[in-house]
Amino acid sequence: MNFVSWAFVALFAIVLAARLTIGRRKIEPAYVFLLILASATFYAWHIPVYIGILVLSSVIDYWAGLWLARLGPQAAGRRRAVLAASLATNLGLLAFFKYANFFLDVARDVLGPGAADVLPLELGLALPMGISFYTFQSMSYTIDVYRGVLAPIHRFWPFFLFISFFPQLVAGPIVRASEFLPQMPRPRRLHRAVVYEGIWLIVSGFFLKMVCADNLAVYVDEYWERGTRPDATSAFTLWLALMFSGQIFADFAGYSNIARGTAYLLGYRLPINFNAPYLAASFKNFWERWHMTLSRWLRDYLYISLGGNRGGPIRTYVNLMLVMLLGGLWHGAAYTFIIWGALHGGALALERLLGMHNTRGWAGRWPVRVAWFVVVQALVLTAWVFFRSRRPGDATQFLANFATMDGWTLGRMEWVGMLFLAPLVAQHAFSWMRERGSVTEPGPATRAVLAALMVYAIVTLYTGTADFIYFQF
Amino acid sequence: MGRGANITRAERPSGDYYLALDRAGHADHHVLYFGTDAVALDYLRRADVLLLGNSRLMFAARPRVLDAFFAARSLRYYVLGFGFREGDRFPLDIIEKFDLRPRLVIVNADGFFTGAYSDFAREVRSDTPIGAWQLQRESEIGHEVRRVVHQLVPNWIDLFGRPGFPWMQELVIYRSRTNGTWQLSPWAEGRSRVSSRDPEQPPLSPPEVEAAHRFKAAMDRRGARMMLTYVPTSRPLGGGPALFADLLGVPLVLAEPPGLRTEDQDHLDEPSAVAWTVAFVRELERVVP
Repeated sequence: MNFVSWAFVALFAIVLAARLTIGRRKIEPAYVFLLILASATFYAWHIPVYIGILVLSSVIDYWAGLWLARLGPQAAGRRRAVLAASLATNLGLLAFFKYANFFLDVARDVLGPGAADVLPLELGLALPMGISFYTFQSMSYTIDVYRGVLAPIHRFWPFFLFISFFPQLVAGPIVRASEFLPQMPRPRRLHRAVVYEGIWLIVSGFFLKMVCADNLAVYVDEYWERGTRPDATSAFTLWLALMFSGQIFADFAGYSNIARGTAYLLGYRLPINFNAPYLAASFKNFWERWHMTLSRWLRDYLYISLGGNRGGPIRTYVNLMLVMLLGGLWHGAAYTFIIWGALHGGALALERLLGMHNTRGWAGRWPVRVAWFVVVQALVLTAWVFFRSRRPGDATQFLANFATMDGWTLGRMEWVGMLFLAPLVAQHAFSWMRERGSVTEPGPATRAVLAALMVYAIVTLYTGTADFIYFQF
Repeated sequence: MGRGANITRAERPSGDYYLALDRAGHADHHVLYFGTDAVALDYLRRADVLLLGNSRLMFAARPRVLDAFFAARSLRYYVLGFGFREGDRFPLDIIEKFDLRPRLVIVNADGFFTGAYSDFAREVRSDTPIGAWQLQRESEIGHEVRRVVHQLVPNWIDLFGRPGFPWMQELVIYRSRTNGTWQLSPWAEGRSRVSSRDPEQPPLSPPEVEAAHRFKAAMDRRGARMMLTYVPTSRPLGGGPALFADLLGVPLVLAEPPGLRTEDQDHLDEPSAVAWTVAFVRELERVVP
């Protein structure tokens, strides 16, 4: 189920009504049962049979948690086996559904033309919704129990709610068990401040998604291919890259805001996922601001497991590269995502080599910081070109078009399109000032006015899939 | 046409129509691919004549004219075209999926023999019947809610358009269950004349040739006679109709009445569509007496 759908409006209205009546403290069994039911409905709305995968993943990790606790620290070998079984199941499901077609492509490329007769073109499987998110969430629980930093949960249904909680099921934030499970027995009433904050997050999320992201998508979807043709000008390709960078931010951040807002109204706090990423003055800082819950997951469960920065500089660079390559692959099964990850991995390693990941010594001087900020944002933008393109060759042509440095004029269409970037620029500018203490968070009255304006903008400026479709006639 | 949001002025045509497309969703591909509308599927299955093509045909084929022509010959027709610059693969999937056995298939050759699915068709094929059902319901609810909301508050994009995009206003399309034709409501007036076709047609590409042969073979297997036509447009998508007709050895029914107009250089306006359909059936009469 998509947040931007009438089905979601109906589902959320029912659950919110329950929160206001049978779930005032949010720990009432009937309310918890309804949340589980709503989450299952939310998930099954896509392809009903896939609820089985969600349940399987949950059962395996629930069982693994119990076994790990029962075995105790002395049975190290058996504990490792239980952990391996859990990880293999989760990663196996992910690999099968998300990467099987990609592996077939790779096999055909490697084996040559003869392989086309033997290997199927594709498996024809629809990707189970949110599988990348809930498998990571589920694995984080088992790993935390294995590491002894989390006590296992002894009832299945609360654990299933942690995995399937519908506000964050489709696109995160990726919540850790240590953040979610302790909230479950804690009563939380729906105070006025909670209502205000929840509504604010939901409205701002829908604004980002329906006004900014969807409108930017209209331009990007229609013109991206033109940017990959040899005759595209520098200004046009730069414009397209900026439009896509805005689209992807507004889309992800909007979704995260809606998730956090709905969860908050229902009695749960979800972690922040985006914090003005285009203000980042270093690559390290970018990943502290962009898809923060994924970055955190990769750092704590992958980077540190690989040895982090404890094995000397070379090993650190290799670890950074590996983590970002896998991070790229996590986004999707395509060479373009791998290149995107490699660019970020290489940039993180180079930044560390140059000492630009901190502000010590010469790296802290403001001209150097400003120059590095430009480098960071330019490479982030370059990496987005690979992220958006269908093939690596398209992306390199796109970048080659930009590199010609000719044709620096934009038409009316481009300028009008950039109006949808304006709210994102304003949001980043506000964050920049807030981080420097120049402004404070807006008060309730200001927020009420802004929320009203955003609702008006949603009603008057929303676009839709129909726009995208009929532009393709 | 005066300034005003199309969604507030859209009227469902009298007769048996469902919402095919508006800003809230595009259910058109889904409905016929998954057969979620039993009535539409029944009429599609019983059709003796199928008209195939992209959105240019869907705008051009006018039911009043076609009804009279085919009824006089005791033939049932269905216009199985799609938007999104859809080529031959997607309608062929539907023909095979529902084992359609038309006696005659008429194809608007302009941009049809691509041998590929549109991006949207690929998405549709990976969807499910439940997804199709949900999409249709979502579209219908959105259509009715937006109709009320925009009586009070306009949608600025619908009112003022978007520079760089041909459609100044929202496109609202209903599709007939009984004959598959599209009805736009409201339908914008054509602002420019359709320019005449370049007589120098580029040669057919190997993929086009292969796709055309494959499609013809599929029709032969089903016992369907095949003909080609061409809906005039200022921006042909390629594939000269005469070249395809020669290649496949099938009749070409050409109708190019003067004075045709278009709003976006691609699609005919309503009076032009009627004029084209009248001219088309007049030409068709020579091969389907």
